[in-house]
Amino acid sequence: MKSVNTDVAYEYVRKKILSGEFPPGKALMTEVLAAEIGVSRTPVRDALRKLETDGLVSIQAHLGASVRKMQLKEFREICDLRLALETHAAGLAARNRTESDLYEIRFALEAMRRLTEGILAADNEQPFLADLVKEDVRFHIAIMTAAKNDLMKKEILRLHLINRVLTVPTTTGVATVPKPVSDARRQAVLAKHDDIYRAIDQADPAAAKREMEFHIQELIDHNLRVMSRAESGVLARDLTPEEMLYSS
Amino acid sequence: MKSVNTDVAYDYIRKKILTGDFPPGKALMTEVLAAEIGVSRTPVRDALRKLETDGLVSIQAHLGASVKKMQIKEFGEMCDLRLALESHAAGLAARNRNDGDLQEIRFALEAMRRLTEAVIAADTEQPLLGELAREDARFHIAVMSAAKNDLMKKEILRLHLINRVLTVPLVPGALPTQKAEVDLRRREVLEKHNDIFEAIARGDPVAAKREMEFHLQEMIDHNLRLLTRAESGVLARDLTPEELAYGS
Repeated sequence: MKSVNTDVAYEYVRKKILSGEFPPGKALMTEVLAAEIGVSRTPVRDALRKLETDGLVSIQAHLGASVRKMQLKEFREICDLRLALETHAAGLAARNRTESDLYEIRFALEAMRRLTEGILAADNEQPFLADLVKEDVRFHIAIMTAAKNDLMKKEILRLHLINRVLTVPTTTGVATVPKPVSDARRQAVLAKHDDIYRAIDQADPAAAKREMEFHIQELIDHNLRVMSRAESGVLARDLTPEEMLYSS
Repeated sequence: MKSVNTDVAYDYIRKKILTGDFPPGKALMTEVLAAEIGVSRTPVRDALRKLETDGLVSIQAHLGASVKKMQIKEFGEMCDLRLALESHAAGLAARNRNDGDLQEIRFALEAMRRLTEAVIAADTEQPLLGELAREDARFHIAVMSAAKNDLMKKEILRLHLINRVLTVPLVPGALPTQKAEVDLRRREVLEKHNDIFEAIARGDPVAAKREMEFHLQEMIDHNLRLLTRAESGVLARDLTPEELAYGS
Protein backbone atom coordinates (compact mmCIF):
# COMPACT_ATOMS: atom_id res chain seq x y z
CA MET A 1 0.00 0.00 0.00
CA LYS A 2 2.81 2.38 0.83
CA SER A 3 5.86 2.20 -1.35
CA VAL A 4 8.99 4.08 -2.22
CA ASN A 5 7.24 5.40 -5.31
CA THR A 6 4.41 6.76 -3.19
CA ASP A 7 6.96 8.64 -1.12
CA VAL A 8 8.64 9.97 -4.27
CA ALA A 9 5.31 11.15 -5.67
CA TYR A 10 4.29 12.61 -2.32
CA GLU A 11 7.50 14.61 -1.90
CA TYR A 12 7.35 15.83 -5.48
CA VAL A 13 3.78 17.10 -5.40
CA ARG A 14 4.12 18.47 -1.87
CA LYS A 15 7.20 20.49 -2.74
CA LYS A 16 5.50 21.94 -5.82
CA ILE A 17 2.54 23.01 -3.69
CA LEU A 18 4.63 24.52 -0.91
CA SER A 19 6.82 26.45 -3.33
CA GLY A 20 3.74 27.85 -5.03
CA GLU A 21 4.53 26.26 -8.40
CA PHE A 22 1.25 24.39 -8.08
CA PRO A 23 -1.00 27.24 -6.97
CA PRO A 24 -4.28 26.84 -5.07
CA GLY A 25 -7.00 25.54 -7.37
CA LYS A 26 -4.65 23.89 -9.87
CA ALA A 27 -5.97 20.54 -11.14
CA LEU A 28 -3.78 17.56 -10.30
CA MET A 29 -4.26 14.86 -12.93
CA THR A 30 -3.05 11.45 -11.95
CA GLU A 31 -1.89 10.50 -15.44
CA VAL A 32 -0.05 13.73 -16.10
CA LEU A 33 1.70 13.59 -12.73
CA ALA A 34 2.59 9.93 -13.14
CA ALA A 35 4.29 10.70 -16.46
CA GLU A 36 5.99 13.80 -15.03
CA ILE A 37 7.38 11.94 -12.01
CA GLY A 38 8.08 8.70 -13.85
CA VAL A 39 6.04 6.35 -11.68
CA SER A 40 2.81 4.47 -12.27
CA ARG A 41 -0.61 5.87 -11.40
CA THR A 42 -1.20 3.95 -8.18
CA PRO A 43 1.53 5.64 -6.13
CA VAL A 44 0.33 9.02 -7.44
CA ARG A 45 -3.20 8.25 -6.30
CA ASP A 46 -1.92 7.20 -2.88
CA ALA A 47 0.24 10.31 -2.63
CA LEU A 48 -2.70 12.57 -3.49
CA ARG A 49 -4.81 10.86 -0.85
CA LYS A 50 -2.06 11.46 1.67
CA LEU A 51 -1.85 15.12 0.69
CA GLU A 52 -5.60 15.31 1.19
CA THR A 53 -5.02 14.09 4.75
CA ASP A 54 -2.45 16.86 5.18
CA GLY A 55 -5.07 19.32 4.03
CA LEU A 56 -3.07 20.47 1.02
CA VAL A 57 -5.12 18.80 -1.70
CA SER A 58 -8.83 18.42 -2.13
CA ILE A 59 -10.36 15.46 -3.93
CA GLN A 60 -13.88 15.57 -5.27
CA ALA A 61 -15.93 12.83 -6.84
CA HIS A 62 -15.81 13.00 -10.67
CA LEU A 63 -13.71 16.19 -10.56
CA GLY A 64 -10.54 14.57 -9.31
CA ALA A 65 -7.81 16.22 -7.26
CA SER A 66 -6.69 19.82 -7.10
CA VAL A 67 -4.49 21.99 -4.90
CA ARG A 68 -6.66 23.11 -2.04
CA LYS A 69 -8.13 26.55 -2.26
CA MET A 70 -9.39 28.10 0.89
CA GLN A 71 -12.26 30.46 1.30
CA LEU A 72 -11.97 33.20 3.88
CA LYS A 73 -14.46 31.38 6.12
CA GLU A 74 -12.38 28.22 6.11
CA PHE A 75 -9.18 30.16 6.69
CA ARG A 76 -10.75 31.83 9.70
CA GLU A 77 -11.81 28.44 11.05
CA ILE A 78 -8.33 27.00 10.69
CA CYS A 79 -6.84 30.01 12.46
CA ASP A 80 -9.21 29.49 15.34
CA LEU A 81 -8.31 25.83 15.55
CA ARG A 82 -4.67 26.78 15.71
CA LEU A 83 -5.38 29.40 18.35
CA ALA A 84 -7.12 26.80 20.52
CA LEU A 85 -4.33 24.26 20.18
CA GLU A 86 -1.30 26.50 20.43
CA THR A 87 -2.74 28.28 23.45
CA HIS A 88 -3.43 24.98 25.16
CA ALA A 89 0.07 23.79 24.28
CA ALA A 90 1.59 26.86 25.96
CA GLY A 91 -0.26 25.94 29.15
CA LEU A 92 1.02 22.37 28.93
CA ALA A 93 4.54 23.66 28.30
CA ALA A 94 4.41 25.69 31.52
CA ARG A 95 3.50 22.48 33.33
CA ASN A 96 5.75 19.95 31.59
CA ARG A 97 8.87 21.81 30.47
CA THR A 98 12.29 20.51 31.42
CA GLU A 99 15.49 22.51 31.83
CA SER A 100 16.57 21.72 28.30
CA ASP A 101 13.18 22.80 26.92
CA LEU A 102 13.61 26.14 28.68
CA TYR A 103 17.11 26.42 27.29
CA GLU A 104 15.89 25.83 23.75
CA ILE A 105 13.07 28.38 24.05
CA ARG A 106 15.41 30.97 25.59
CA PHE A 107 18.00 30.33 22.90
CA ALA A 108 15.49 31.14 20.15
CA LEU A 109 14.24 34.15 22.08
CA GLU A 110 17.75 35.59 22.51
CA ALA A 111 18.42 35.10 18.80
CA MET A 112 15.17 36.91 18.02
CA ARG A 113 16.24 39.74 20.29
CA ARG A 114 19.62 40.14 18.57
CA LEU A 115 18.03 40.07 15.13
CA THR A 116 15.29 42.52 16.08
CA GLU A 117 17.92 44.92 17.42
CA GLY A 118 19.91 44.44 14.25
CA ILE A 119 16.89 45.43 12.21
CA LEU A 120 16.15 48.47 14.36
CA ALA A 121 19.73 49.68 13.88
CA ALA A 122 19.94 48.95 10.16
CA ASP A 123 18.73 50.93 7.19
CA ASN A 124 17.98 47.84 5.20
CA GLU A 125 16.29 45.09 7.18
CA GLN A 126 16.18 42.62 4.32
CA PRO A 127 19.31 40.64 5.28
CA PHE A 128 17.92 39.90 8.77
CA LEU A 129 14.41 38.86 7.94
CA ALA A 130 14.80 35.23 6.93
CA ASP A 131 16.80 34.52 10.10
CA LEU A 132 14.27 36.28 12.27
CA VAL A 133 11.46 34.17 10.81
CA LYS A 134 13.49 31.01 11.39
CA GLU A 135 14.09 31.86 15.04
CA ASP A 136 10.49 32.85 15.55
CA VAL A 137 9.29 29.51 14.19
CA ARG A 138 11.91 27.77 16.31
CA PHE A 139 10.59 29.53 19.42
CA HIS A 140 7.08 28.27 18.77
CA ILE A 141 8.21 24.74 17.94
CA ALA A 142 10.28 24.61 21.14
CA ILE A 143 7.14 25.42 23.12
CA MET A 144 5.13 22.69 21.38
CA THR A 145 7.95 20.28 22.16
CA ALA A 146 7.97 21.36 25.81
CA ALA A 147 4.23 20.63 25.98
CA LYS A 148 5.04 16.91 25.60
CA ASN A 149 2.08 16.09 23.39
CA ASP A 150 3.34 14.79 20.04
CA LEU A 151 -0.09 14.56 18.52
CA MET A 152 -0.85 18.18 19.34
CA LYS A 153 2.50 19.30 17.94
CA LYS A 154 1.87 17.41 14.72
CA GLU A 155 -1.59 18.91 14.39
CA ILE A 156 -0.38 22.46 15.00
CA LEU A 157 2.42 22.05 12.45
CA ARG A 158 -0.08 20.70 9.94
CA LEU A 159 -2.23 23.80 10.40
CA HIS A 160 0.84 26.07 10.08
CA LEU A 161 1.64 24.48 6.76
CA ILE A 162 -1.88 24.81 5.37
CA ASN A 163 -1.83 28.48 6.21
CA ARG A 164 1.54 28.86 4.55
CA VAL A 165 0.32 27.39 1.28
CA LEU A 166 -2.56 29.75 1.29
CA THR A 167 -0.49 32.85 1.93
CA VAL A 168 2.26 32.13 -0.59
CA PRO A 169 0.51 33.76 -3.56
CA THR A 170 0.15 37.07 -1.73
CA THR A 171 3.86 37.24 -0.90
CA THR A 172 4.55 39.25 -4.03
CA GLY A 173 3.85 42.51 -2.20
CA VAL A 174 6.77 44.35 -0.66
CA ALA A 175 6.86 46.26 2.61
CA THR A 176 6.07 49.92 2.26
CA VAL A 177 5.22 50.60 5.90
CA PRO A 178 7.17 53.51 7.37
CA LYS A 179 10.14 52.19 9.34
CA PRO A 180 9.03 53.60 12.72
CA VAL A 181 5.72 51.74 12.39
CA SER A 182 7.24 48.39 11.51
CA ASP A 183 9.95 48.85 14.15
CA ALA A 184 7.31 49.44 16.80
CA ARG A 185 5.45 46.31 15.77
CA ARG A 186 8.68 44.27 15.87
CA GLN A 187 9.41 45.42 19.38
CA ALA A 188 5.89 44.62 20.49
CA VAL A 189 6.10 41.13 19.01
CA LEU A 190 9.44 40.53 20.74
CA ALA A 191 8.04 41.76 24.07
CA LYS A 192 5.13 39.37 23.72
CA HIS A 193 7.51 36.46 23.14
CA ASP A 194 9.32 37.57 26.29
CA ASP A 195 6.06 37.40 28.25
CA ILE A 196 5.31 33.94 26.93
CA TYR A 197 8.78 32.69 27.84
CA ARG A 198 8.60 34.16 31.33
CA ALA A 199 5.24 32.51 32.07
CA ILE A 200 6.56 29.12 30.94
CA ASP A 201 9.76 29.61 32.91
CA GLN A 202 7.76 30.45 36.04
CA ALA A 203 5.58 27.36 35.49
CA ASP A 204 2.44 29.48 35.30
CA PRO A 205 0.06 27.70 32.88
CA ALA A 206 -2.72 30.30 33.12
CA ALA A 207 -0.35 33.15 32.23
CA ALA A 208 1.36 31.14 29.47
CA LYS A 209 -2.03 30.43 27.91
CA ARG A 210 -3.16 34.02 28.20
CA GLU A 211 0.01 35.47 26.64
CA MET A 212 0.05 32.95 23.82
CA GLU A 213 -3.62 33.50 23.07
CA PHE A 214 -3.08 37.23 22.89
CA HIS A 215 -0.08 36.82 20.59
CA ILE A 216 -1.72 34.38 18.17
CA GLN A 217 -4.98 36.32 18.11
CA GLU A 218 -3.05 39.40 17.10
CA LEU A 219 -1.33 37.50 14.27
CA ILE A 220 -4.62 36.07 13.10
CA ASP A 221 -6.35 39.44 13.01
CA HIS A 222 -3.41 40.74 11.03
CA ASN A 223 -3.65 37.86 8.57
CA LEU A 224 -7.38 38.15 8.18
CA ARG A 225 -7.03 41.80 7.27
CA VAL A 226 -4.54 40.79 4.59
CA MET A 227 -6.78 38.02 3.31
CA SER A 228 -9.83 40.24 3.11
CA ARG A 229 -7.87 42.74 1.11
CA ALA A 230 -6.49 39.99 -1.13
CA GLU A 231 -10.01 38.66 -1.72
CA SER A 232 -11.15 42.06 -2.78
CA GLY A 233 -8.37 42.07 -5.34
CA VAL A 234 -5.96 44.34 -3.46
CA LEU A 235 -2.63 42.81 -2.64
CA ALA A 236 -1.32 43.35 0.86
CA ARG A 237 1.57 45.62 0.09
CA ASP A 238 2.09 46.91 3.59
CA LEU A 239 3.27 43.57 4.91
CA THR A 240 6.88 42.64 5.33
CA PRO A 241 7.99 39.32 3.88
CA GLU A 242 8.77 38.26 7.44
CA GLU A 243 5.23 38.84 8.54
CA MET A 244 3.89 37.02 5.53
CA LEU A 245 6.11 34.05 6.24
CA TYR A 246 5.83 33.78 9.93
CA SER A 247 2.22 34.46 10.37
CA SER A 248 1.70 31.64 7.93
CA MET B 1 -10.56 8.63 -7.68
CA LYS B 2 -13.64 8.54 -5.49
CA SER B 3 -16.36 6.21 -6.59
CA VAL B 4 -19.55 4.63 -5.35
CA ASN B 5 -17.59 1.46 -4.62
CA THR B 6 -15.15 3.38 -2.47
CA ASP B 7 -18.09 4.69 -0.45
CA VAL B 8 -19.50 1.19 -0.13
CA ALA B 9 -16.18 -0.20 1.06
CA TYR B 10 -15.65 2.77 3.38
CA ASP B 11 -19.07 2.41 5.04
CA TYR B 12 -18.67 -1.33 5.36
CA ILE B 13 -15.29 -1.28 7.07
CA ARG B 14 -16.12 1.76 9.17
CA LYS B 15 -19.23 0.13 10.56
CA LYS B 16 -17.33 -3.06 11.38
CA ILE B 17 -14.74 -1.03 13.26
CA LEU B 18 -17.27 1.07 15.15
CA THR B 19 -19.31 -1.93 16.25
CA GLY B 20 -16.22 -3.76 17.41
CA ASP B 21 -16.57 -6.56 14.85
CA PHE B 22 -13.15 -5.52 13.65
CA PRO B 23 -11.29 -4.98 16.94
CA PRO B 24 -8.19 -2.78 17.41
CA GLY B 25 -5.13 -4.43 15.93
CA LYS B 26 -7.03 -6.60 13.45
CA ALA B 27 -5.25 -6.88 10.09
CA LEU B 28 -7.22 -5.48 7.16
CA MET B 29 -6.20 -7.28 3.99
CA THR B 30 -7.19 -5.60 0.77
CA GLU B 31 -7.88 -8.81 -1.12
CA VAL B 32 -9.92 -10.43 1.64
CA LEU B 33 -12.00 -7.30 2.10
CA ALA B 34 -12.52 -6.85 -1.62
CA ALA B 35 -13.93 -10.38 -1.87
CA GLU B 36 -16.03 -9.92 1.26
CA ILE B 37 -17.56 -6.65 0.05
CA GLY B 38 -17.76 -7.67 -3.59
CA VAL B 39 -15.77 -4.82 -5.11
CA SER B 40 -12.34 -4.64 -6.69
CA ARG B 41 -9.19 -3.84 -4.75
CA THR B 42 -8.78 -0.22 -5.75
CA PRO B 43 -11.88 1.10 -3.92
CA VAL B 44 -10.84 -0.92 -0.85
CA ARG B 45 -7.40 0.68 -0.92
CA ASP B 46 -8.96 4.13 -1.24
CA ALA B 47 -11.41 3.38 1.57
CA LEU B 48 -8.58 2.26 3.86
CA ARG B 49 -6.65 5.43 3.09
CA LYS B 50 -9.71 7.46 3.97
CA LEU B 51 -10.13 5.58 7.23
CA GLU B 52 -6.50 6.32 7.98
CA THR B 53 -7.36 10.01 7.60
CA ASP B 54 -10.20 9.50 10.06
CA GLY B 55 -7.71 8.00 12.48
CA LEU B 56 -9.46 4.63 12.61
CA VAL B 57 -6.96 2.62 10.60
CA SER B 58 -3.20 2.61 10.56
CA ILE B 59 -1.22 1.77 7.46
CA GLN B 60 2.39 0.75 7.65
CA ALA B 61 4.84 0.08 4.88
CA HIS B 62 5.15 -3.66 4.15
CA LEU B 63 2.75 -4.54 7.00
CA GLY B 64 -0.37 -3.21 5.33
CA ALA B 65 -3.43 -1.89 7.08
CA SER B 66 -4.92 -2.73 10.47
CA VAL B 67 -7.53 -1.33 12.80
CA LYS B 68 -5.83 1.35 14.85
CA LYS B 69 -4.69 0.36 18.27
CA MET B 70 -3.93 3.13 20.69
CA GLN B 71 -1.35 3.18 23.41
CA ILE B 72 -2.25 4.99 26.61
CA LYS B 73 0.18 7.76 25.76
CA GLU B 74 -1.55 8.42 22.46
CA PHE B 75 -4.96 8.19 24.08
CA GLY B 76 -3.94 10.78 26.67
CA GLU B 77 -2.65 13.06 23.93
CA MET B 78 -5.83 12.74 21.97
CA CYS B 79 -7.95 13.51 25.02
CA ASP B 80 -5.94 16.64 25.58
CA LEU B 81 -6.44 17.69 21.98
CA ARG B 82 -10.16 17.25 22.42
CA LEU B 83 -10.08 19.20 25.68
CA ALA B 84 -8.33 22.10 23.96
CA LEU B 85 -10.76 22.18 21.05
CA GLU B 86 -14.01 21.51 22.87
CA SER B 87 -13.40 24.07 25.60
CA HIS B 88 -12.41 26.63 22.97
CA ALA B 89 -15.62 25.77 21.11
CA ALA B 90 -17.64 26.40 24.29
CA GLY B 91 -16.11 29.89 24.46
CA LEU B 92 -17.02 30.50 20.82
CA ALA B 93 -20.53 29.21 21.48
CA ALA B 94 -21.02 31.78 24.24
CA ARG B 95 -20.05 34.44 21.73
CA ASN B 96 -21.83 33.20 18.59
CA ARG B 97 -24.94 31.32 19.71
CA ASN B 98 -28.35 32.39 18.44
CA ASP B 99 -31.76 31.63 19.93
CA GLY B 100 -32.13 28.42 17.93
CA ASP B 101 -28.80 27.16 19.28
CA LEU B 102 -29.79 27.95 22.85
CA GLN B 103 -33.08 26.16 22.42
CA GLU B 104 -31.34 23.05 21.11
CA ILE B 105 -28.83 23.02 23.97
CA ARG B 106 -31.59 23.60 26.56
CA PHE B 107 -33.69 20.88 25.00
CA ALA B 108 -30.91 18.30 25.38
CA LEU B 109 -30.20 19.51 28.91
CA GLU B 110 -33.85 19.14 29.97
CA ALA B 111 -33.99 15.65 28.49
CA MET B 112 -30.82 14.76 30.43
CA ARG B 113 -32.42 16.10 33.59
CA ARG B 114 -35.57 14.00 33.15
CA LEU B 115 -33.55 10.88 32.35
CA THR B 116 -31.15 11.39 35.23
CA GLU B 117 -34.04 11.70 37.68
CA ALA B 118 -35.66 8.60 36.19
CA VAL B 119 -32.40 6.63 36.43
CA ILE B 120 -32.00 7.64 40.06
CA ALA B 121 -35.59 6.66 40.87
CA ALA B 122 -35.47 3.33 39.05
CA ASP B 123 -34.24 -0.02 40.38
CA THR B 124 -32.98 -1.12 37.02
CA GLU B 125 -31.50 1.77 35.15
CA GLN B 126 -30.36 -0.20 32.14
CA PRO B 127 -33.14 0.77 29.67
CA LEU B 128 -32.61 4.51 30.25
CA LEU B 129 -28.85 4.64 29.91
CA GLY B 130 -28.65 4.50 26.15
CA GLU B 131 -31.04 7.40 25.92
CA LEU B 132 -29.14 9.43 28.49
CA ALA B 133 -25.90 8.92 26.59
CA ARG B 134 -27.63 10.05 23.39
CA GLU B 135 -28.91 13.26 24.97
CA ASP B 136 -25.52 13.92 26.49
CA ALA B 137 -23.88 13.59 23.08
CA ARG B 138 -26.60 15.81 21.63
CA PHE B 139 -25.86 18.49 24.23
CA HIS B 140 -22.20 18.55 23.26
CA ILE B 141 -22.95 18.58 19.54
CA ALA B 142 -25.38 21.47 20.01
CA VAL B 143 -22.62 23.44 21.75
CA MET B 144 -20.22 22.75 18.86
CA SER B 145 -22.86 23.85 16.35
CA ALA B 146 -23.41 27.06 18.31
CA ALA B 147 -19.68 27.80 18.05
CA LYS B 148 -20.12 28.30 14.28
CA ASN B 149 -16.83 26.73 13.29
CA ASP B 150 -17.54 23.73 11.05
CA LEU B 151 -13.95 22.63 10.88
CA MET B 152 -13.62 22.58 14.65
CA LYS B 153 -16.85 20.62 14.99
CA LYS B 154 -15.68 18.09 12.43
CA GLU B 155 -12.36 17.68 14.19
CA ILE B 156 -13.94 17.24 17.62
CA LEU B 157 -16.38 14.64 16.28
CA ARG B 158 -13.49 12.80 14.66
CA LEU B 159 -11.69 12.64 18.01
CA HIS B 160 -14.89 11.48 19.76
CA LEU B 161 -15.17 8.63 17.32
CA ILE B 162 -11.58 7.50 17.68
CA ASN B 163 -12.00 7.42 21.44
CA ARG B 164 -15.19 5.43 21.08
CA VAL B 165 -13.52 2.75 19.01
CA LEU B 166 -10.83 2.38 21.57
CA THR B 167 -13.20 2.04 24.51
CA VAL B 168 -15.60 -0.42 22.84
CA PRO B 169 -13.65 -3.54 23.87
CA LEU B 170 -13.92 -2.52 27.53
CA VAL B 171 -17.73 -2.44 27.73
CA PRO B 172 -18.35 -6.04 28.90
CA GLY B 173 -17.84 -5.11 32.56
CA ALA B 174 -20.96 -4.95 34.78
CA LEU B 175 -21.38 -2.46 37.61
CA PRO B 176 -21.30 -3.66 41.19
CA THR B 177 -20.69 -0.15 42.59
CA GLN B 178 -22.88 1.42 45.28
CA LYS B 179 -25.94 2.93 43.64
CA ALA B 180 -25.82 5.95 45.94
CA GLU B 181 -22.33 6.75 44.75
CA VAL B 182 -23.18 6.41 41.08
CA ASP B 183 -26.32 8.52 41.55
CA LEU B 184 -24.28 11.24 43.16
CA ARG B 185 -21.88 11.32 40.25
CA ARG B 186 -24.82 11.49 37.81
CA ARG B 187 -26.19 14.55 39.57
CA GLU B 188 -22.79 16.23 39.50
CA VAL B 189 -22.42 15.59 35.78
CA LEU B 190 -25.88 17.04 35.19
CA GLU B 191 -25.08 20.14 37.25
CA LYS B 192 -21.91 20.66 35.28
CA HIS B 193 -23.89 20.59 32.04
CA ASN B 194 -26.23 23.12 33.56
CA ASP B 195 -23.29 25.42 34.40
CA ILE B 196 -22.03 25.15 30.83
CA PHE B 197 -25.45 25.97 29.45
CA GLU B 198 -25.90 28.98 31.69
CA ALA B 199 -22.52 30.44 30.80
CA ILE B 200 -23.33 30.10 27.09
CA ALA B 201 -26.84 31.51 27.59
CA ARG B 202 -25.59 34.65 29.32
CA GLY B 203 -22.86 35.14 26.71
CA ASP B 204 -19.88 34.60 29.00
CA PRO B 205 -17.06 32.99 26.94
CA VAL B 206 -14.57 32.82 29.81
CA ALA B 207 -16.97 30.96 32.09
CA ALA B 208 -18.21 28.69 29.28
CA LYS B 209 -14.66 27.69 28.50
CA ARG B 210 -13.78 27.13 32.14
CA GLU B 211 -16.86 25.00 32.86
CA MET B 212 -16.38 22.89 29.74
CA GLU B 213 -12.71 22.42 30.50
CA PHE B 214 -13.52 21.32 34.02
CA HIS B 215 -16.17 18.88 32.83
CA LEU B 216 -14.00 17.31 30.15
CA GLN B 217 -10.95 17.09 32.37
CA GLU B 218 -13.00 15.15 34.86
CA MET B 219 -14.24 12.78 32.12
CA ILE B 220 -10.73 12.33 30.79
CA ASP B 221 -9.24 11.56 34.19
CA HIS B 222 -11.99 9.02 34.67
CA ASN B 223 -11.28 7.38 31.32
CA LEU B 224 -7.54 7.32 31.84
CA ARG B 225 -7.93 5.57 35.18
CA LEU B 226 -10.12 3.04 33.43
CA LEU B 227 -7.68 2.50 30.61
CA THR B 228 -4.74 2.16 32.92
CA ARG B 229 -6.56 -0.55 34.80
CA ALA B 230 -7.52 -2.27 31.55
CA GLU B 231 -3.88 -2.26 30.44
CA SER B 232 -2.86 -3.95 33.64
CA GLY B 233 -5.42 -6.65 32.85
CA VAL B 234 -8.16 -5.56 35.22
CA LEU B 235 -11.44 -4.70 33.59
CA ALA B 236 -13.16 -1.60 34.89
CA ARG B 237 -16.21 -3.12 36.50
CA ASP B 238 -17.24 -0.06 38.44
CA LEU B 239 -18.22 1.89 35.36
CA THR B 240 -21.69 2.15 33.97
CA PRO B 241 -22.28 1.52 30.26
CA GLU B 242 -23.44 5.11 30.07
CA GLU B 243 -20.16 6.40 31.38
CA LEU B 244 -18.32 4.18 28.98
CA ALA B 245 -20.41 5.33 26.05
CA TYR B 246 -20.32 8.99 26.86
CA GLY B 247 -16.85 9.26 28.18
CA SER B 248 -15.83 7.98 24.82
